[in-house]
Amino acid sequence: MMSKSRVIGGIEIGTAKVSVLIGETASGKNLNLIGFGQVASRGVLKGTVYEYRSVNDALQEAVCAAEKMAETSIEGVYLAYTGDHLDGSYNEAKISVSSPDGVVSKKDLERVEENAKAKEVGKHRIVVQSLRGPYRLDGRQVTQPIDMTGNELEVGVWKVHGDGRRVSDSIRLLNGMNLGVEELILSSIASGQMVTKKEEQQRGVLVLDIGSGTTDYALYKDNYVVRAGAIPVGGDHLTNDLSHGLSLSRREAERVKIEHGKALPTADDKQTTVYLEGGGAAIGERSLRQLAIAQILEARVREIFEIVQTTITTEFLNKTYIPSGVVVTGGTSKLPGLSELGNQVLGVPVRRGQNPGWVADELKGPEFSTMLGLLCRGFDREKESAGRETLPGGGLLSKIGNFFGWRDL
Amino acid sequence: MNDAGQMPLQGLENTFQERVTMLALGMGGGGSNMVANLQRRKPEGVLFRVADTDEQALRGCSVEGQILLGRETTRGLSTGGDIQLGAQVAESDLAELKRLLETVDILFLFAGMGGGTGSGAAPVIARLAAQMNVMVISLVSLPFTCEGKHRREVAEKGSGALRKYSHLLLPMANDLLLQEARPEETLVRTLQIADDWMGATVMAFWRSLYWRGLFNIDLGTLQKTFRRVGGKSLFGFGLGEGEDAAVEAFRKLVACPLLRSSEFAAQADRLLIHIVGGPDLQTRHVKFLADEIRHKFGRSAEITIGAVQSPDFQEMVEVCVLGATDVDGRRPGPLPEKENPRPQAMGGRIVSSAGLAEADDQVILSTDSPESGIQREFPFTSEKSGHFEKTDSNEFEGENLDTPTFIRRGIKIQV
Repeated sequence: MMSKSRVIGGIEIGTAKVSVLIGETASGKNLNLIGFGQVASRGVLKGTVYEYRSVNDALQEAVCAAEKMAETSIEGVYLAYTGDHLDGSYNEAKISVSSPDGVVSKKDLERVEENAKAKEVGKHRIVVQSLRGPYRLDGRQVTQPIDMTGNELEVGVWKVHGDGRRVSDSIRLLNGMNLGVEELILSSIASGQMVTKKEEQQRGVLVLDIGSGTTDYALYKDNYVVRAGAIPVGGDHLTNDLSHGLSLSRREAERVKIEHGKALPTADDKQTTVYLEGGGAAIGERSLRQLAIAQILEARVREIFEIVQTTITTEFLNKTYIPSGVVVTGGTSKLPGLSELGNQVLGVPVRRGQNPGWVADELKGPEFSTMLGLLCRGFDREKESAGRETLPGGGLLSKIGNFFGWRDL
Repeated sequence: MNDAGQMPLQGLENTFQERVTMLALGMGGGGSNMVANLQRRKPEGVLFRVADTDEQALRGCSVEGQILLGRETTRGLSTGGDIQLGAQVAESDLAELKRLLETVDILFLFAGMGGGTGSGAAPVIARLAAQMNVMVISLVSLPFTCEGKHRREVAEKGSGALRKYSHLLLPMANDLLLQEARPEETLVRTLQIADDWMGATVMAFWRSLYWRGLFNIDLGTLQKTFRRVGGKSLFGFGLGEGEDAAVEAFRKLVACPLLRSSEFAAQADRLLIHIVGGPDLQTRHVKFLADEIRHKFGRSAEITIGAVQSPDFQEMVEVCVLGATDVDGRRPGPLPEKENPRPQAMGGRIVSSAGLAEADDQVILSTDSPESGIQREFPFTSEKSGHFEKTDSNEFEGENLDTPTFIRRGIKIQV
């Protein structure tokens, strides 16, 4: 049998950068990373596209660069999704097992899941990702209840939904470039797959992907994602706070953050002076107090962790529920002292995430976790459908579009 | 327009033929303190009045011209933070306020936002003044984040309504004051910094009209610069001393915390620059400042410059920048009294209130209203003060997460 290869792209339209990673799969047997393109983003704030045209230009540039390197074209896109308009809701459903002998059928599973999903998410809202939790048969958690016997079958679904227009904007950007979106994947779920191990997801772990625009989270337990979402605060806010507090331009503030930023002040910060241009030799060179930088950043990072705690609640955020603690990733996670501060606030161990060993050195940084996760998800789907002739066609937008009956899509 | 009987115009050193009458009116407790601060600076020819519903608070105020609002409604007591009541009270005393404004050219309206009288009554007076073709410059303070969600919402509503009828609205966030204050200073002293800022602003206006200088500004020019109500404004100032006072003043201006506040615009469509220097102030200093300010705050803006010399400013330069934009402030709140009119409390004055509402529309139309204007988009530039200005609001448990955390939490940063 001839091996059939397919070229998939993992794309992230981030607040700081637009990134495109291209992978090639051969009959779902392996995944080769063959192209990468990244450009500075404009017109994206807090994970949401605010300036369509600038984003379009940046996206075009990044896709072109990646395709040029790959020497081929992307056939299907896995798009990371986040944004300040995302929200989540949880709903459970319970049904009686239909067959008289109490043996659970596939139909029962579908029915209970449908029921759990049935709750409306509100006008003009659209479900970005629906996350099913484990089934429970007569109150007992079971991974695969088919052919088991019982009376009542229950399941819970966590739905992440967003503003319909905003979501369709992102998909339209890609469709406008003749790229079909296979699947939207929450950024935190994409990166979470990279920075946590199966055992950790089983035991319980919280992934925090602290990017530029948003802090995305994914809470794993028993190998399920039980909660996921976005908090509209990220590295961009750190930069903005420095710019306000130290009277710097955004560009200067960004550099100060990267070169001298830290989330926890240390004893010698009080005496330490840093310079905007590095050496401090130039005339009229601005000097800054290291302590001021650390204080401003500490306040913001502390608050981010506090919001995480309030959002996820201590019901989940405790050592018993997540014995594997918290894993931070995303560009902002590189800030020195961030894990220590997180540990202080959350009271559970916080560690920096790492991409798996097979990843090339250039892509080892935490800012690449999401894109790698996207391609892995794509690879898994290719594997699932490797037997079939073609993938279910039409792309995601046509499905969403048909479902909601939007003509303008 | 000259009702000399009411105006203390004696000894006025007005450089213009016409007399420009300015009224500094403080609404509520916060506004009264600001006016008292201004009065201590002794700007000649400015009329001072404070208006409050709280009789006891008025008694404690050093300003002599006092107006007790709501004799019929609140009967000498405070509004208890009720913004609706504050608006009602002003409506009920409209006739008296109208008499007060009859001879006024420029109204400086001072109020602390977050309470009932300031937030509720000030917009009513601003509307009345704008309708009477008085130039309205509103100076308001916004409550500390730690004062809670309710006060902030009231403040937002109040300042939103006030913006609609102000030619220039200068909101000062109290959160910023903590950054300006020295750590050992008391809260009372910290609050005085806001009063000082506002006082200094009004003084700059006053000087531009009353002092003879290198470049003079007249009322007509001011009116032209701030011809439109409802726009977002820009405001900042800096004081430089020593040999390079002008350079230093500009540096201080750029670092002025107010310019980085999201309450203000980063670029203006019309700029008023006012410079005060000693006898050593030269045209080249003025030119330097004008060029730098134009470059920084409004490359294509209409610019009006005033510059005066004073022996008190030997080796000192103070620069004050006021900008008006054609961009609306975010979410201007409706006038509270309009959402929920309570006619029973207004008694026989309903007619005048309805009449005002009609005239109100005329004011809006004749002043190039924001509602009718096309919103101009600002580009995403790195220098923009409100980086998140165009985004959806970012509320979490009553706090705006886009405002720097250290400011909201009052963490003093030693720069």
